Amino acid sequence: MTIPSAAIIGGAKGRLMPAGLIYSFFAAAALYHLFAWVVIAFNADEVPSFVGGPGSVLAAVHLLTLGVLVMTAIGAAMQLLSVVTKKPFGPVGLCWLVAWLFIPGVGLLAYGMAAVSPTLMTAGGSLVGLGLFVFIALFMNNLREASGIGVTLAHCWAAVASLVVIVLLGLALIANYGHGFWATPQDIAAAHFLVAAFGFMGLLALGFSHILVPMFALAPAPAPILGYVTLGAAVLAIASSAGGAIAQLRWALALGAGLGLVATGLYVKAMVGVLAGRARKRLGVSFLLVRAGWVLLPASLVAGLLAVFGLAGERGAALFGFLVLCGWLLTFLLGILQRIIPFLATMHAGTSGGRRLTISEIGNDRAIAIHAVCHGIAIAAVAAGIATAQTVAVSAGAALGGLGAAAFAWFTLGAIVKTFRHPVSPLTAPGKRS
Amino acid sequence: MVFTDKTIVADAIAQDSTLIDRLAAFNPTFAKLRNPVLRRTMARLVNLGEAAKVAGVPLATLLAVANGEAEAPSLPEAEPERPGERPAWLNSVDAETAEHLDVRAMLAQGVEPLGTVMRLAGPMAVGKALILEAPFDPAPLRRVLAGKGFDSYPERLESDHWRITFLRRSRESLTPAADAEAEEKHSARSWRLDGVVHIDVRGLVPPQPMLAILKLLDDPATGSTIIVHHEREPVFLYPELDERGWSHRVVDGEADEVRLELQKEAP
Repeated sequence: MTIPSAAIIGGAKGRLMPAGLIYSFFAAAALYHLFAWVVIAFNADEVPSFVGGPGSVLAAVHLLTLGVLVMTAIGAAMQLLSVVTKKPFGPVGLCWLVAWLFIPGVGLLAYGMAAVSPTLMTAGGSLVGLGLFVFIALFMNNLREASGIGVTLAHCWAAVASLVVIVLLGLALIANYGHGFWATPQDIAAAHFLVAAFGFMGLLALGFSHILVPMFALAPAPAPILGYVTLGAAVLAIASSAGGAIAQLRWALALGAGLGLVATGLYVKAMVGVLAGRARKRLGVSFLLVRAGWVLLPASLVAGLLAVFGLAGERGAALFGFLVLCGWLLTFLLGILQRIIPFLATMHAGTSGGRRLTISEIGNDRAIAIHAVCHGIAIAAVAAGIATAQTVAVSAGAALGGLGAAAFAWFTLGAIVKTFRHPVSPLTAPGKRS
Repeated sequence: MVFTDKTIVADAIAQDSTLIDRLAAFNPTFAKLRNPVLRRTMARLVNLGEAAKVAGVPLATLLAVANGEAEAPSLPEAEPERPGERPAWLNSVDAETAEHLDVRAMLAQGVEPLGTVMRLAGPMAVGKALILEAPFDPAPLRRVLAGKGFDSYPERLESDHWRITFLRRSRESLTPAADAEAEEKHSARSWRLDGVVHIDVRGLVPPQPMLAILKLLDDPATGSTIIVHHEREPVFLYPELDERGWSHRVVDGEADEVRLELQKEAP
């Protein structure tokens, strides 16, 4: 018995989100990316000695973490997860609710941190928390009974659990700032950071790497067993380091870093294996960033290990934090985003004649090249500036980072404009050729 | 449900449990479908059009009987479609050094032979041959092994004894014997029907479906049309198709299948 293709179309169409929704997250991420570097540039003298606490640097950290990393993860998850799990991510209305709560909430929270205003931090944090809880509910509902790729789904579940912990710890930290019920909130903040960076963002990055890297490189996916073992080591690492931070146990922190290096080694081995068997020979600038991220991940863990044992000086913690956030996560994510944004755009963007635009027509090689150069120099300069307490290096590096972020925003905006200039139906109607 | 030449035999049997009896009354060849192993294996791979060729009966009559539109006529078991002239490569096959496998006893005992065949064929080097003894012409198996670089030639020795000679012309992949069964499970199947290449990527883990389809696109022998049998709309594939100058559209297919027609656009 044959099934009319319309039935299939109807089912598949439900899995594509409106372009405007997804792009709202990516556009916000591009904007907050620029803001983060600008804030760092103007507060460079505070960066090398930063160990937590409200202020401009904390604002920049959250512009990066929430405004860029989590923002991108939400937008990408809303689109990519539904295609992987073969289930619609959720009602579009609720997805828009996440956008309306989270996007302005991040701005308000960051402003409150910079202004050291508990009221604004509470308001912004509440919006962010509410948005994330709605997102978590949608995320979990999509994962439930999903029949997608086991390794990726397992990472997603662990990431969701981490996100719950992060939100609760974050809200508690804001409340503590106003009421002071913790003697050493910096330990809670450290745990919050570790779970956020490695738990939520890190596990999402690792999990989706099993799909995205093979897909973009046109290579077979790595053996699932490698992914599961990596996940196990990563979860143990996160638990050990977060627990060690809260309980002030150096050995637990060191164990976490060590397990993290094991997980990293397995993950990088898997990814290098994927690239070795790829059909697409030229990967472009995006994979330059992706590979740089794979180098900076273990580098950040080594920096963390040195900081645990006091071998990295007073600025060890700041250096570790910067390498994790900007060196690894931001670099890796921007590399992947450079492929995802045009890729998603092709589903919606067309020419005036109704033809669908190709990936190469949507991309902007010049903007990408400018961003890559500026970003690379920025990371090196700021890291060196933190390590040597050279404010000028931090400031100059951050300025270059801002320039790179502006170029990336140009790339993102270009894709958005092309999407909405001549939108085409995201799916081919039966009998109609795309 | 109306059965057509494209209807998979296993699906037809699932829809109509009396179908086997009607077909067996029509032609004794179909009595083999009472074997549960055959129903689980070959019946899932062959459609009614191919079954008609295997049994050597007119397709129109088979469909009429299958759809209950006509009583099974008393047709003698006809000679199956002749596979063509003996190919020249058959003369180069040395029966002494070839692998031999007789699956007749296995099937009679209800043992599934597909895994055994694939474990044997998987690691065979180019130039090596496999001689298979079977109770019928396993057209679906020949199609699968064709996709793995094997030429084949079937010879009917008796009414329920066929000898199929396989010769490996090329290697599709280097898979250890231990993984041959897994590879069979995880490889795309491709075949040519009425001059059009089909590829079935159902059951493959992403991005295997996309890789298999793109590999087919890049093969100059493929032609300008490909029919893809998928289990989901491959939205990740579409940008790659656009880049390569191929258009796509969803066409009517079987239940739980998303069937795509890919067409190479004129330069």
